[in-house]
Formats: sequence, structure tokens, C-alpha cells
Amino acid sequence: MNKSVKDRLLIYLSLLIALIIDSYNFSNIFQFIKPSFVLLVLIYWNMALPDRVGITTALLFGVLVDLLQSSVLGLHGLLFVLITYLCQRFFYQFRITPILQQSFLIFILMILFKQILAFDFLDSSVNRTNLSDGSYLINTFYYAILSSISWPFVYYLCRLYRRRWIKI
Amino acid sequence: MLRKEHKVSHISSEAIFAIPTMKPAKVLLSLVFCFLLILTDINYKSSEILRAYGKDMLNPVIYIAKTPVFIFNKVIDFFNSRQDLRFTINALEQENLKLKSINSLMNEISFEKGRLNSLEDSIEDNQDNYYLVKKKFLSTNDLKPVMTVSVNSREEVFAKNNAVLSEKGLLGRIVSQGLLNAEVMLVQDSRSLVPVVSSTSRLHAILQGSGLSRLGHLNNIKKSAEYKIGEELYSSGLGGVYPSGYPVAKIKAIKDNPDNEFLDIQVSFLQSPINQDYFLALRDPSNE
Repeated sequence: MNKSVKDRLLIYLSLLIALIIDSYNFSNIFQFIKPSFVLLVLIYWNMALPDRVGITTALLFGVLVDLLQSSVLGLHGLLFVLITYLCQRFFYQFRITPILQQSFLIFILMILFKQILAFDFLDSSVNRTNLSDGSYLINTFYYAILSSISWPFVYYLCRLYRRRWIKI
Repeated sequence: MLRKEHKVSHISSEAIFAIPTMKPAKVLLSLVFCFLLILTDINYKSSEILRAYGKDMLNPVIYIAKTPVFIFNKVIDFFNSRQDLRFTINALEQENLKLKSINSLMNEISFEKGRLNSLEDSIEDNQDNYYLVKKKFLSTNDLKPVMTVSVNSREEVFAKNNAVLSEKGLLGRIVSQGLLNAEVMLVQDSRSLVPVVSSTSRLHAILQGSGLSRLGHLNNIKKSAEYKIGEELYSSGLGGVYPSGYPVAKIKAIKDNPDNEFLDIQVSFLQSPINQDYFLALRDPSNE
């Protein structure tokens, strides 16, 4: 098999594993603040191998997450494409920053990501365009914290995976 | 040279400056495609047709996610003592009794409906209209919670707008159906509007959710309305979407703000899907 195709398949496999982890259902409040591993893994691949991961991958997994999460079709796709673009546009800078700083950037990104998901696309509330409230803000904060804590683990795990299987 | 003086990639050792950035035209095209998907979904509700079938395709993913817990539980079960197993059986029997009590509760509610002249069929007939559904996934967005359910028996078929009930009352309705899965829009969803009637004052209203673990509110209630705190709200069946007579929520607070021409009535929902796995769906005979 062509090396490039094999690499892509391995990247898709890692994203699929992340999707499986994301689809696990928790029976408590953790369900609403658990980090999105698909997004974290996607960010990693965009930084590590930007020539192997692109818009198509982001779009495909975004739509799959839309289906899983029952959100407006295309919303996660749109956000994943935007994040992919940002990561690829600034991956030179992002790659050389220390891991703690990367975690902080992930924290900011995740706050924005979660807040955009609260937009009232279906016009269910008459006076508001964003359904976010105090409780949602706290959840957003926890979500961003958990994502930034998870980032070093995702980072080193994906790096191990890349070195062991993709060998770049 | 010290590492501090020469910044290198922490990720890979390949020549990263040789990698071309992605083409803006491709990004733009993808964004336009996503916007088209969103607009189609908002205006024509395209995802209601696609989503449950999409979830049928994602079924293996959900099953694989549950496999480690399933194996862990099996191993724990295996190493459990006989007494522990007896406890488990007791718990399962208790759950079974609970489900039976749900059925009997539904009978009681049906009886009450009859008393209110809104029931047409007998209790025995209604029993056949219930089928058991199992929670598979709850979306992570607590403002717009959507629950994915599957049926236990292959003979059961979902239908759109079938009401889903817990032992405490109305939980939501099926909005998208696939072959194996269906999506349930919960009453706590900010898009959900349920026609309700209050238990003692007998006033009609529209109940709107604000998200899971949040208070809902009654829309456009005149200041002269005599609602009472603690009053239970039952589905009125108006509009023909939800069946009538099921408890939905309880009035938590009534605020009369001078700058608002309507009363601000906050309600707490009686049921939540977070800690529960099994629910009853009510088949609507008029839709078949």
C-alpha cells in the first residue's frame, strides 16, 4: 500500500477511536462537560502532519459528530473546518510553543467552541440569539479546563501512535 | 547551541517549512457547503430525516464504546460472590417491579384522563400501546438535549411524535426515526413547546424548556391568571402532538415584573433522563 494512503488510514483510525471514546455515555453531569477527543486529536494531526489531514477529514468527522450529538447538521462540520484552517494557518507558531502554552490556547479555543454551540440557530427563544446562561457558562469553563488538561495526554499519546505506526 | 536560542518543533523532526498551507478557496468552499447544510436543516429540517438513519450507521461505534464497560461488568459479575449475585438479582427484580409500577402508573393516569373526559379507549387497550425503549446516547449539549433510544424488541417500530414517558411523567417525543434508533426531543429542550393544563386552577398554557437541569417557563401568561406555586402541570393534549393527562412539571416560582406585561412563571420538570436507562414510548393509534 502507498505510504501516504496508509498514513491517512491510520490517522482516520485514530479519529475513529476518538469518536468511539466520545460516544461513551455518562450517567451524570460529566456527560455535558467531557472533552471532545475527536477535536483534540484533529488539532494534533493538523499540527503534526498538516499535509496528511485537511478540510475533507475535518468536514467528514464534523458531520459524524453532528449525527452523534444531534446538533444542527453542518454546525460541527463548520467549526471543525474553521479550527482546522486556524491550526494549519498557524501551525508553525503552535508547534514550537511549550505544551503548557498549547494547553492554554486549547482552553481559549474550547470556550469559543462551546459558546458557538449555544447559538440559537433554530430560533427557539424569541428575545435571544444565544441560549447560554450562567450554568452553561460554568459548564463551558469546566469543559475547557478538562480539554486543556486532556491536551498533554492526547498530545503524547498521538505522538507515540505517530512514531510507532506512521513513522514520521 | 542552547535549546532556548533555537526553537525547534516539539512534534516532529521533519522540515515543516516545506509544507504548503491549505488553499483558501478550498476552505471557503467547505464553509459554504457547511452553511448550506445548516440552512437546509434550519429551513427544511433535513436532519430529522437523515439523523436517525445516520445513527443506525454509527451503531457499531456506540456499541464499541460500551464494550469495555460491558466486559468490565462481566468480569466483576464473574468474580462476585453468590450473595452479591443474589443482590444483583434483587436489584434487577426491583427494576422489573419498577417497570411494572410504571405500567400501573400509566393505567392510573389513563383512568384520570377518563375522569376528565379526554380518554377514549379502555385501560387494557392502552397497555398495548406502550413499548419499552432503551437510552443509548444523550447529547452533550445540555441546552438542546436530544436522547437517542433503541427498542428492545425487533417487532416494535418507532413512529414520529410518539410520546416518551418515564415513571414520573412525560419526557419528550420522537422527532426522528431510523431502523434501529430514534431521537427523542426532551421536554427540557429549549425548542420544545408542550401544551399543559394546571392541576388545580385548570388553566391552559404553553410550557417551554430551557435545557437540562434548568427551570422551564410558561409562555405569555396574563397577569390576572391565578396560578399557584407547587401546582402540577399536566399535558393537555391540545394540538394533538402530546397525549393528554401526563404530569410534566411543577410550578416553582411566579414573578410579577412591572416591566413585563406577562407573568414570569418558572417551573421545574418532574423527570430527567440522566440517571435512567429505560423508558416507555406511547404509540399513537391514530397515526397508524
